[in-house]
Amino acid sequence: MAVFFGLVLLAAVCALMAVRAVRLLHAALWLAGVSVAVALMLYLVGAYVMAVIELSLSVGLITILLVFAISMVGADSPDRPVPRLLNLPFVAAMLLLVIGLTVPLLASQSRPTEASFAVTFWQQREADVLAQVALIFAGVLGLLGLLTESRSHRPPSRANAPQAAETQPAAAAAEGETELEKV
Amino acid sequence: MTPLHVLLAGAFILLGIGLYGLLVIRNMIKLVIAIQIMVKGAMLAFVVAGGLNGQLNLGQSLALTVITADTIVAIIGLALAIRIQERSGSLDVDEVMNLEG
Repeated sequence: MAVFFGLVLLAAVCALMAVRAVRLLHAALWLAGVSVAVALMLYLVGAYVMAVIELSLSVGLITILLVFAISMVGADSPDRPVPRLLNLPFVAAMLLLVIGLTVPLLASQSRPTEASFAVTFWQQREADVLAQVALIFAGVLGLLGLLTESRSHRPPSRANAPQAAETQPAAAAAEGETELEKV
Repeated sequence: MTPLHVLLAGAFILLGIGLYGLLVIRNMIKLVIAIQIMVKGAMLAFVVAGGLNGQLNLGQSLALTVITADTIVAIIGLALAIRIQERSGSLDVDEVMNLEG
């Protein structure tokens, strides 16, 4: 039992530090800590498949994506959270609502016999698999659309060298532009 | 109180911290991080609820769907943040909302 309390405490501290961190890179690393704690919880519960997926997707993929995005936006810009007066009461009210709605349902459910994970996932939850495939396609298409469009709408300060327009011939400037487009 | 109840309380704590982050954070990339924390709480709640009802595999399959959607949301959110930063030069949601056009 102490292990579970410790893991919950670890996850809560890492999540709080991720929210309160000033630097984006630190926040991404604290989020990886939350993912590790959640993966350990899932493993101890017996959800081995989800523990592996959580560890590989959240700690691996999402952290790498976050670091990549932080490096793409340039400097690791500091960000200070702006607490307001009604935030904490609002969060408490929402949590009470969620707890009040979900906890009574947990006690009233029956306990049928359970199929294996493969049968549950591939046969009983077939629509979920199709939805996941559609989601992945939508994500890839959305990502391609966003990044392609962003390449064609670069701000003038980046797309053209400022001194090129006046000091160099027009042909050289056009050649530089085509090289930038290729990159 | 069983370990599953402790983990359910942990899921609610993660949900609350993520919601608090969504309310106080102004940086777009950190907003994605706050959403990730919330979704981790929801995913943990799915698995724990499945364990409490004797349907752990059903909870796992639902959590798998949640984590797939969450990854797609993170990817699209980060791409949007990069694109908005390229256009407006800022990641602050207040500054971006004040822009015209």
